[in-house]
Amino acid sequence: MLDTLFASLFAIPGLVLILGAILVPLLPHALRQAYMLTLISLSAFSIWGMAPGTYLTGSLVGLDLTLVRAHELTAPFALVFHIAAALNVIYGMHDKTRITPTAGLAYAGAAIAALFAGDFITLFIYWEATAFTSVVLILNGKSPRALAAAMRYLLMQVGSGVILLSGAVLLWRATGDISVGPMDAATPAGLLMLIALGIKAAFPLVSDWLQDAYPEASPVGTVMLSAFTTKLAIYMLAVCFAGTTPLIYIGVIMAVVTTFFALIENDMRRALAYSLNGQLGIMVTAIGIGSSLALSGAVAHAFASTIYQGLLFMTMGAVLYRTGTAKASALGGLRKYMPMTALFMAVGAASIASVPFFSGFATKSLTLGAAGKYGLEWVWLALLFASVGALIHSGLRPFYHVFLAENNDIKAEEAPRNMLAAMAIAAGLCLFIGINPQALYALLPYEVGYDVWEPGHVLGETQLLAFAALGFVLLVRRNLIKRPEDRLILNADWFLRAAAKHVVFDLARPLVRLWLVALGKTRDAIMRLLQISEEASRQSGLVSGIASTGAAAGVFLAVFALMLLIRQIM
Amino acid sequence: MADKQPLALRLLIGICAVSFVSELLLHRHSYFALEATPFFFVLYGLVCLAAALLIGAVVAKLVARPLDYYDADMQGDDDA
Repeated sequence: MLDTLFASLFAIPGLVLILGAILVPLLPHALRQAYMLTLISLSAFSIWGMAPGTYLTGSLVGLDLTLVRAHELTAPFALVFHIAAALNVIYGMHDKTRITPTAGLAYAGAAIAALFAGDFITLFIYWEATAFTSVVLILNGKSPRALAAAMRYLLMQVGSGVILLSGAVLLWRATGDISVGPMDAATPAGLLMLIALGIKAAFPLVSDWLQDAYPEASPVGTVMLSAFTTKLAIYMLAVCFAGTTPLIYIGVIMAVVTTFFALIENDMRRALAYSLNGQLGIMVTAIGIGSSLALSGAVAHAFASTIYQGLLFMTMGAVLYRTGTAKASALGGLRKYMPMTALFMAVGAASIASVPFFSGFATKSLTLGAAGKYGLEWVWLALLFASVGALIHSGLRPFYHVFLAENNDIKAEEAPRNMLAAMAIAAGLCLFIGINPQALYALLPYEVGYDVWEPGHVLGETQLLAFAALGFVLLVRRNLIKRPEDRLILNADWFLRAAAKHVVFDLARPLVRLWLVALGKTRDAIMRLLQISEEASRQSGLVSGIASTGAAAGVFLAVFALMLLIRQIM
Repeated sequence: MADKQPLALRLLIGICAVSFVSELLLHRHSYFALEATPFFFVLYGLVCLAAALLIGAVVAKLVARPLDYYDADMQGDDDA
């Protein structure tokens, strides 16, 4: 009996985390942490070594569903999702609130379950589950801004799910098969799927939910958010749209354009959200190239970036937790108070900038190599630019403004021990992957035929980054790098938040006026009818005299109800 | 801690110097002609830095607004 229950609980990867989350708010604080880590460990153990194949099927209203299927790309994503879930628990151990860990565990579970979805209907269910669990993390930012951002976030996420479902319906009608697998973006179903995945992967013009919402969550919430949703979309893009050439252009735009926005953003967590968007661009580019080396690059980069991007969000979260702000304009000098956090940030920055011996170098090199092998010189140049951009916007600039620049107004304590522990583990993994990339490559489905340690490549990357860093330091010493102003940076969400609002209101205004006039006329007519009734009743007993008293009361009640209804509508 | 900054800077200058000299000693396996051009990465790193900062400054001029931009916008609608 117990065996059967245990087997059922682990039959669907991630389900144990979703169901297990129900108990999280009921447990005392210390037990809660142990419980969550145990569940994550058991979940990881249950999927360890799962070979590609179908594990569980079912049916729903005549549709054959593949509830659990491991693709050849699934294992590295599933592993890093478990690592991220565990790091999130450790990072949030100081947090006494119950809602964040509950939602965070269920969110991780939904994302893991989605990785194993073998058909688009099953995927849709977990796709929406990630939306509804993650929005709780943003709502828990507990500010009017967080509430508004959460609503916009939910609109985009649920919208993505609805488009995905529409694509699944079209796919089923066209082929009678809704299995998750390679798709043609030129078909209506494929195009809808690509749009749905593109929203969650933060493609240009539909990416602003990321920069809008992630920085509004609590320090712990933002770290949780950074791991799952976008990487799930990257995984699905790799499974469904590998080799779709337009993705190369989309990815390059993502990697390059986000650099400028990250560079001018004052809120360091928002700058990191742009930076995360840029890293997704590198993965999308690799998926667009589509060769086995490029796909290995996309998967490896997703793995490494989940950890180093999480680490960077952890460091800025710790700064926010200790100082109450993550804005560069209000920070400075924290190296005296938070030296360990500064050290971990340096490791995260070196990783994202692809400094040799750090994880980003080991993974991004594969995409650079794939671009080189396919003769895509402009892609190669753009990716090198993105490396320098990441060095500045996610490394040197925040490090300078937050930890080095003089600011005598700020005093803070070092981050809590649990936060430091999570950062230390993440930083250790960044170094481990950077020094020993073969350990990560061994998890990849294709053999990585690329020598990451080729001396010319190592030297080129070192020169690129070292001279850019030297240039930046010289600019700082000449006071040419100014403290950013606390300003709002407009991006594509302006179309939704301002332009679309005005268009909708302007278009709707005549209709609203017409509606109000019609309501007013109706109300006047009813009032006039009542008046006539009263006069008629007084003069000839039309209502009370001819009809029965009950019927008269009924007429008045109906008229009264109608008036109330109109009043409610108005 | 103040004396650590020059140390970090000296280290960075050292890395730049060693990598610069290594260029002269190394035979590079390259995919592109640019990659094989001596000191390409040195120059490109500096060009990327300059481009990122300059274009970033232009973008800032175009898209930076007061913090209450959307709130003020909504307030205007309410008033209307």
